[in-house]
Amino acid sequence: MSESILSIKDLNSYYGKSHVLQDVSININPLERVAILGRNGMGKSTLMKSILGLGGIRRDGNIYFNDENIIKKKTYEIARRGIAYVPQGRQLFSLLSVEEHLAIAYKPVKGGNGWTPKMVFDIFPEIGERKKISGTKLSGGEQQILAIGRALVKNPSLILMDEPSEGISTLVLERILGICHRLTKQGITLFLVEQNLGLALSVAQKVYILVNGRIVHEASAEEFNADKESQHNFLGI
Amino acid sequence: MLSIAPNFGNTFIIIVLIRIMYYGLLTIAFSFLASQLGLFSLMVPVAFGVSGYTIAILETKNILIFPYSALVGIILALIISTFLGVMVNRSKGTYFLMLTLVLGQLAYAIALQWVSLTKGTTGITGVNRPYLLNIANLESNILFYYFILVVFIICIILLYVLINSSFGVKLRGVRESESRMIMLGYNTSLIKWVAFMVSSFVSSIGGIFFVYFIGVMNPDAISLNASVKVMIASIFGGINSIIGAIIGTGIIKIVEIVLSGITQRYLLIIGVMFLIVILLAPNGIMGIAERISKFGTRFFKKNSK
Repeated sequence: MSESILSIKDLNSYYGKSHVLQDVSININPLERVAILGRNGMGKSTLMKSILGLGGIRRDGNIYFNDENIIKKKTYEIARRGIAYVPQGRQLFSLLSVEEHLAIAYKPVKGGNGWTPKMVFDIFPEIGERKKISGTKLSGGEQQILAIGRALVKNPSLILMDEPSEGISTLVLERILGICHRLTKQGITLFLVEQNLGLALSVAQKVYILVNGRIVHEASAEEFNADKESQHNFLGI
Repeated sequence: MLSIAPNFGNTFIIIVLIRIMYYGLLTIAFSFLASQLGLFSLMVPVAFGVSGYTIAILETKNILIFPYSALVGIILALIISTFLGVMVNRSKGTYFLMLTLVLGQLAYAIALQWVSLTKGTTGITGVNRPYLLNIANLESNILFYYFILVVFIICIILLYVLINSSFGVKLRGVRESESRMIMLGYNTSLIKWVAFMVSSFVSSIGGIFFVYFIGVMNPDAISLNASVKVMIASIFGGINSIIGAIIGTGIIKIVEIVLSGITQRYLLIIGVMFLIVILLAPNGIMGIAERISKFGTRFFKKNSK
């Protein structure tokens, strides 16, 4: 029995005939904050979708979540086991109000110390003031906040975040950063895909580098922050 | 308005209102799926037909009487819908429409060709209206009217409660994006199936009143023609609301009854009316009403300044 919360072993993912992820193995321990870095088109989002079994991706290999192999499970069953997803492009509903977004995602925790829609509205008054309007009528930053809030009220044990920094202001970004740090104290593990190196390194404790569908490098955030050569080699910075 | 109508004492009006209500239940069943899930089911009349035929067969063969026959009718309709629902709930859009068309036609073919059970095109005649709780003889049109009115209103209230509940929010979520709902941990096939069963239940209740009111059950009740009329009534009234479904059925049935006395080409006239509504008001009568009320508020605001 391993100690990790999420353990990906030799994962291969295919979109039709194109072989996107090749022998990807990743280990995430409980309460860790882990980031996947890589340039565009390296397969970062595919990795997130592969974990959840989303969007017509064929997968080989094993994915263990809390020691249970979930690769053959249906997406909704995986999500119910306690994995929340903040997708790229937010994926909100135009037919549902801000309030309803949180209501359908909300899973109360026994003992009552989990996230509630009210807590989300208190921390993010900008969406708290606009409870009744359609989710997609919010501004870009507010939509990102709602997408994160929607993941929080599910009270998951693991949150997958795909490019949370995309298209939002630094002010909002700083608050999202604050939330990310707070997650650890609340017993939530974070797995992040990010192009913004600064954000990734300030959130994550461990980073993996994905190049052309392969994990080519693994390091602690501190090591990678100091390692300018790897940054240049793998990310072209 | 519906509850005071019989005071006019005109049997003709009562008959028209009763017909509007049982066809209305069928249209509501269609409209519920169309408005909440965006699914156009051409097999909505199947549950209507199953409950109607079950009652007709059980009663004319002296096997069971009301209310047991009606109960068996509803249960059988729900059992058949269970399988139909599982068969269609993976599809959407045009595929859903085509699949329900095929399954609806299959049910029609069975009703038409299983002559030993359904008596084919002639249909089963001689279904008598029941005594309700041994007190009210529903042979009386007025008592029948009040009975269907009560059931009709209960059905509408139940649907309204459902649509405005948390389940209604989930339905809208599924309507917009199944994949997003799946991502949140919802079994969308199950949600769609439940909605389909609700629709079938309402439709099967319509079938009960239909067979008792006219006393005959024949395949015409579940023909493609019947499905299309339901769809037209629903779109005519406004596909996005239950009230629209009722108004649409009301108008179509009244026009049908009035015009069929004058000319045999009444369907042509309904067709032209439908075309005009589709072209000028895609959201149907309810859409027009909404526009008028919006205009009214704006007009009122302007004048009060």
